[in-house]
Amino acid sequence: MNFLNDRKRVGVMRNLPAFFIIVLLMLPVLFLILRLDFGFNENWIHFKTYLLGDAASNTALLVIGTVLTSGTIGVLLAYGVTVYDFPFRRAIRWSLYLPLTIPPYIAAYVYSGMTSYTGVIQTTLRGWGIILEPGSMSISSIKGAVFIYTITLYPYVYGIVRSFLENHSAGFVETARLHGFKAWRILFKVIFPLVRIPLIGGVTLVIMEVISDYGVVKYFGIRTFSSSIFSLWFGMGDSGVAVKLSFYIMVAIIVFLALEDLLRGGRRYGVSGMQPRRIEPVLLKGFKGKALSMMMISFLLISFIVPVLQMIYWATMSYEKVRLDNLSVIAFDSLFYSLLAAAIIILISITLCHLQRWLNPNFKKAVGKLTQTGYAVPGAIIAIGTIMAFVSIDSTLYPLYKLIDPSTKKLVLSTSTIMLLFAFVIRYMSIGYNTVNSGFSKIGTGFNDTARIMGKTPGRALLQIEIPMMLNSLASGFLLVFIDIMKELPLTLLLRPFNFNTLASRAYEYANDERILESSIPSLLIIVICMVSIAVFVAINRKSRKGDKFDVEN
Amino acid sequence: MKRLKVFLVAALVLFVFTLAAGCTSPATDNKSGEVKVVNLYTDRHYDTDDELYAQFTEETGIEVNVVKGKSDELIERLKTEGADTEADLLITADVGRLERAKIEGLFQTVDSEILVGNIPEKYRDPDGKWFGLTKRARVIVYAKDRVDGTQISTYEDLTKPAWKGKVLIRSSENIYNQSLLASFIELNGYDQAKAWAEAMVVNFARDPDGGDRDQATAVVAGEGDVAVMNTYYLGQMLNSANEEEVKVAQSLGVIFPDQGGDGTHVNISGGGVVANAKNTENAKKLLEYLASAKAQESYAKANYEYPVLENIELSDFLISLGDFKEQSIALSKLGELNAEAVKAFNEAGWK
Repeated sequence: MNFLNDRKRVGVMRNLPAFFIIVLLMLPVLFLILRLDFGFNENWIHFKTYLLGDAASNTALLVIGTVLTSGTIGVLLAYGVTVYDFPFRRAIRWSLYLPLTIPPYIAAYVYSGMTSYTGVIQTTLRGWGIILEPGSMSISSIKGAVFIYTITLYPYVYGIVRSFLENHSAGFVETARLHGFKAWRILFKVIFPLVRIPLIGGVTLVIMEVISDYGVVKYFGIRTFSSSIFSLWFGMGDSGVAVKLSFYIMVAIIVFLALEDLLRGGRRYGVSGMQPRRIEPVLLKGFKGKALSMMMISFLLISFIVPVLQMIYWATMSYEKVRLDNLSVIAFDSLFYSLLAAAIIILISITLCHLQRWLNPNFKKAVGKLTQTGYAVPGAIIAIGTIMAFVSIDSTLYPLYKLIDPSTKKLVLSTSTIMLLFAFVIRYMSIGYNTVNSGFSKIGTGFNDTARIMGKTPGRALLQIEIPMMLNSLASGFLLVFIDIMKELPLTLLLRPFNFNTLASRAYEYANDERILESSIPSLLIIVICMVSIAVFVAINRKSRKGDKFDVEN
Repeated sequence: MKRLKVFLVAALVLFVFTLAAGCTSPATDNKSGEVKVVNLYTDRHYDTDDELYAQFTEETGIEVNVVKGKSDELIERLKTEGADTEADLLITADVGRLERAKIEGLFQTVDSEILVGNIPEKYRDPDGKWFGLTKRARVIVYAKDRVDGTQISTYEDLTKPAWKGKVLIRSSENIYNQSLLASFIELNGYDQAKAWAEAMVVNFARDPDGGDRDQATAVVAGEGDVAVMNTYYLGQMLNSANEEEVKVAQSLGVIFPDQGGDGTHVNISGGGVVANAKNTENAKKLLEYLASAKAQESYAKANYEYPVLENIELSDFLISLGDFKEQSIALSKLGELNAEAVKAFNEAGWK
């Protein structure tokens, strides 16, 4: 028995903060649910008759297609860079994260701009006298959307699988090699079964992004659940039906996550049985190494370098038509609020993960699932829920505001950036929480228990011993959340106070007006800022890896 | 201990930053003795609009605070904020949304001689709730090199068998299409409008995708022969930084449909003073400024939109398009019938 963590001692008091945080995170969704009515009105029947079939099959195709391609590509790339050594491996290893910095809807605009009749590809071909069949290059289709999602979202899979393989696959891969397994056999017999769990983690993020995306499908004219929500709400003006549909989607996602957990059978890799040991890559000499290197570079070309070059070219063509004077303020605001929100998310995640370690495992699972709700619903819906929540908070707090300043206005919080920050936190809590939680589950409770035997309190043990051990997970969680918020659109558009702009909202304003050339300057700034943050992350990573080694040797 | 301190300090710093972030939002009240302001929600995202606001501030000393967003979502935000909203003025790029805001009770009646004097009656709400500022026509364009422009003179013509597999138009999710179909519902009734949509779907060159500019490009590329688009986007293409786009726009012919009948479909962008505005007078002043000859000229010149004011000097682009007859229906109908239009589109299978 674990006396330290006797249930009696872990009383209500310790559960309370976790409970409070969860309620706060659920607030917008709760407000939306309050608005639900479960009747079946005329619009719902219309939706079922004319839209549901299309929306369901398209969403399913997009999700399945993206999961298969981004899953396969993510695992292959992760396998390649961990198991082999080849020319430019170190640069490629972190460059493969870069496509994450391009917002999917921008990638959609860029790629359709490039492949259109007036785009660079067809124009060049026409210059050579080659005229293509009209529409033959069009990417506005389900396949095209899967392509866009794959090149912008695969880094979720790649990142998670790669870090898992680097730390946990050494024994398996080396054993297989000793038995004379060839590369492909190792891939199918060892790697795929081994990475099943991190793969599911990465793919889950991809699925959520695809389901809630609106920008790409709207531009490509593909009807999905997400676009149906907007069509019901704004086209038919029936917010009740729209909220109901998003509620069903949210429930479906939570059920899916629970099922996934069930199928996994609660199997988690504890650290106890597997001493993490870094895998030593095998040097691929000569042609093979060059070929692997070339393959990875060409993938990077497609997913990142070519679109960015195109944007740079467009930026040089259009900078005279773009308002540049306030860009530095906008860039600063984007950076500041993304950093702030990411920091808040990581702090809350640490608190939650720490508090829940001693909780009943079922309750713990429930906490994990509930943090996901904000990510499972389209952003615009979360935004409306957030406004409802904040307006009612402001009404409640109004007497208090009056005490401080008798001439105050009523909507204090909901006209400030605090509301926007709050929404960011809710939306991206899931990403932060999952990364931080994986850090916690690798560590287990052993270190904390030991520290407490040595006379430390659980909190102090967390700060002094465990957090330094998890720096890597924390940093990667921070980075993922930061990049996501830099690209964030619906929440910013809907919740921002007066005169507040982000780079993403600037890019949107131009792109929405079909001025894609003009939108490339703010888009490029997003990409540059995210690239710098990845570079910083890589530097921290290297430093902390040295630290790891030191620990192990001791 | 040191780490605990670091952690606490970090938490404190975050908290302070959050508060500071919250409090630095600009002064949006209009208390006596403070800066005069007007707070604007708009879904017009043009840099040229920002310039107009700056000029307004220069002339009147009234600062313009702006939230740009999508009109539907801004309307939803206004509804939720209710009596406590800080917004004074709502501007949208589609009359359907203006009418929806009016129906939701979000606008107040504005009594202004300038607005009534400048804006022709058909471009403003009879109850004085909203006022049109610019207009766009939804026209048919065709490939000059292979289509005889005289073959098409109405929207109905696009549904003829001759154009099977040749017609390009964007998705029914688009508000300009919704307003177009709403105008047909008003003119010809629901069934006939739906029949038009069904016949259009039969003639589609491809499943709808992309924006108006993409339809124009697809015509020149040969994916179809004719497309429906707003004049405003054509103006943008003619002035694009991409030479290829300019070439595309130049090789298109423009048809103003229904000149012998109901007239070409026109949509307006405009605004209204928010019912719970705190700076009503300033909001009114801004609206009046935007309807003044000076601002109207800037709309026509810089943004390729038609001014609502008469006798404004037009840009060369607008002059080149020539005069045309407009649909004469009450624009408010477009808003009222929007939901009907969406249903008709869905039933017709128009994606």
